[in-house]
Amino acid sequence: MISDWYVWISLLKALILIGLILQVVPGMLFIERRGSAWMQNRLGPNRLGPFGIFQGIADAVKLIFKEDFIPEHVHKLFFGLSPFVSMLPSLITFAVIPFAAPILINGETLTFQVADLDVGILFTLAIVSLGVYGVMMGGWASNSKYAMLGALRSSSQLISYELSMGLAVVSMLMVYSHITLTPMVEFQGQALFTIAGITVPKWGFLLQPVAFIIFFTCTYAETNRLPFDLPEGESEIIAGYHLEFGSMKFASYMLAEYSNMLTAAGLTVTLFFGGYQLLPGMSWLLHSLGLSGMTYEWVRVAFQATAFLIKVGFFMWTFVWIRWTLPRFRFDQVMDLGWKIMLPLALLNVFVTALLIAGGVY
Amino acid sequence: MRVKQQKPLLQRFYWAEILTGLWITMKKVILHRTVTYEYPEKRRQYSERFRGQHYIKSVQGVENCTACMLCPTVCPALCIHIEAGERNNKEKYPAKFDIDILRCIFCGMCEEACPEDAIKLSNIYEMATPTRDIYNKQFLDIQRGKDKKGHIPKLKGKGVQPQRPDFPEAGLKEGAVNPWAVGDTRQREV
Ligand code: SF4
Ligand code: SF4
Repeated sequence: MISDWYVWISLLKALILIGLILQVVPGMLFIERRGSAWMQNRLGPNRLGPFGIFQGIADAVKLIFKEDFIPEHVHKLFFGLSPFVSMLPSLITFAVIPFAAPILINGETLTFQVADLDVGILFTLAIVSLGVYGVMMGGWASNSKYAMLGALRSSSQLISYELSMGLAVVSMLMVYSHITLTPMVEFQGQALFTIAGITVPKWGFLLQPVAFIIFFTCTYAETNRLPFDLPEGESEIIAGYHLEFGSMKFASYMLAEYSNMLTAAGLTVTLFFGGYQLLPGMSWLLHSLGLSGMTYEWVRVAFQATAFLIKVGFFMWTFVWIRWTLPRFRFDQVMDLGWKIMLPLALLNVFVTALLIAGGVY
Repeated sequence: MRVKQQKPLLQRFYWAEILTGLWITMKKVILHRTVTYEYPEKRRQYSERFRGQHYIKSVQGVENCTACMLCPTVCPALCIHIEAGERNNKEKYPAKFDIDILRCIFCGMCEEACPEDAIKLSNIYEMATPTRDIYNKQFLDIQRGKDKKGHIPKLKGKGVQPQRPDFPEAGLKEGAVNPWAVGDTRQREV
């Protein structure tokens, strides 16, 4: 039976998580604008607060107080609904990603994820696929050509890349032989080999480099980020599917994009970079503190969450970094890459992984 | 026609090229250097040869121009309008000297054509106004040679900007003629 305690704790965790995700967005906006400026030998926004760190808040305030304009020719219901349909899946997906190893309090296990579902990664894949509906709905309800084109591009792109992404995840499932995320992360804590006292852990990208490359590329296509931002493609189709949206509706699309990025980064870290496993040096630091009992456990949780957030932060920065480095693909190139390179490669990878597992390599 | 390009192996393997690109952008972030100016707090120092706002050079309050009409003739934008007059000592002078600054393309041909070294381009580049300005003679006269009080300001050092208050309206009494106000068209007969 589910106890009251469990319900309240889950609610608390969900609130904290949503708060965290929503807070990340203004921060990421600031980093994106400032980072892009620095990459282009510019200064970027630097007026509001020290180093301009309140720019994200100013942007948010501006968007909230803008007139919520609904054009005459749109489908009112879907037009209003679509930003939130596209935002929800990304918020939901994060629920299964563990921030730290479970902790035992008075015989009850406290997990550091909102829901430790038995279907684990399958849940993630299922919900992530729902994201395309928000984009499709937005594009269709806008009833304008550019938005329609953006939505079409988006749906075909998302569907093509989801296949390869799913296959990359399948090969990881075969290696980990677990479908929930916490055991996957625990698996990655094992030692791969030890040279001169330095233990190299079994992090996913070392076991499955090809799967990592495929998954990594697909997350970019899934989040509509450059070099796969064809659904937006400002130079060709102005802003694609969110062309007709303004004020808070547009902001919701932005939220969706950034929380999608966060989820993608979280998944990449969990699957391939040891999730909450400590970074090199951190475990040494943890042991040298000489704690024991409950204190040790809580400090360990803090360390693991920090390690996880650092890794996620790195991948969030990579999203920005790649966006301002690579130009956009042409649409036929995107399709070629998806169907002619990624998909066969992912299939081959699954096949080779199966052979290796049968041969007892993993 | 589709031309097949044979690129080196390393370039065909897209990831190597991506990593090179990423390194380049990261280098920009690490060695952060800007090429932009925080205008209007910092201003770019243009060279003395910059082609900006016009002025008419004058010696002891008498403009060098003899209304020879070379500059309106050479002007490709046809934006200089001169009406010649005669002084008491039979000297020819420009009774009216207007430059329609909206049409000017700042080519500097007028400066080059002038035999008297009269019309010059300064390095004043802040010329944005809410009106369609025509620079008249009074304005052109005062641009560089004299300040508000009619004194000739000393320019210190090389590359020093002509002295011009940032906010021309500041410190001027109401109704007073603002010598820095760009091209007061009311003074011009239509
Ligand atoms: S700078 Fe060129 S366009 Fe302008 S007034 Fe002189 S000759 Fe005419
Ligand atoms: S060319 Fe020189 S002297 Fe001749 S009209 Fe123009 S400014 Fe006057």
